[in-house]
Amino acid sequence: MNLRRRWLWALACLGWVSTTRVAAQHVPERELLQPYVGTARIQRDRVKLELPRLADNGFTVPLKVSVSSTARSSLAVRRLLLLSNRNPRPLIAAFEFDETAPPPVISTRVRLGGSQTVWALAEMSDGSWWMDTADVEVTESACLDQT
Amino acid sequence: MQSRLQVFPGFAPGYITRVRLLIQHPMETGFRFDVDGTAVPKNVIHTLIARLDGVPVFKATLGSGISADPFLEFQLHTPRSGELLLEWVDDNGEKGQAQAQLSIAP
Repeated sequence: MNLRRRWLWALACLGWVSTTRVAAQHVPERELLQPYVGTARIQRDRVKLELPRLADNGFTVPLKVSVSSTARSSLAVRRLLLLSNRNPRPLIAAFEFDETAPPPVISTRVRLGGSQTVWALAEMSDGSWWMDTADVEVTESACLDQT
Repeated sequence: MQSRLQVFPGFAPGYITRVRLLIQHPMETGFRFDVDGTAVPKNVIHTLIARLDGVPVFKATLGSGISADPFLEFQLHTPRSGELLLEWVDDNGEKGQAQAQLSIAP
């Protein structure tokens, strides 16, 4: 193996190591949701999470989450959670509603520490869980860790 | 703590009122260092409660994942006129509030 090839090998290995380290920063889905949802089955649909696909600035990313009204009017949203799989504190925000509340539509601005997936989880009054996810590419991370 | 509250009262048939709140607050994460290299302590608004005539109708638990100068927009069911009071507390125990008079046409 000549010198140039060795160099290329070293570079490739370096690339592989760095990508695996980046991937390790993301909390896996099961680990992320388990403390909040437990073993409950989570359905998709109903919850709609709107985030920009590309965020220029991780310090303020506009976020909108809504839960569509149910056919059975007796079913209301009890809780709504926003989770991040890369922020040092995964729980971004939690919202609680009383029984009279209309189907929630919430807008806010969030901090994101890098490109990641954001989860929106809704717990209904019958205990069922619904969710939606959104992938965001963040070009300038909110430096939430000590880097 | 300075804040701005906008309320868009709801009318029939749904009586759904839209509430927009903007608070002036640094929302310090606790992961930041100042110019001297000393850690800036965490200070975020952790709880926000909306009350309609004294009855709690909405509660938000916020964390360091919410941007500085937090903005929040949500909806409430307001079947009659009343006073909307929003109260929040940060990690330093500092409290803030905003209120609005809701007048709903019957």
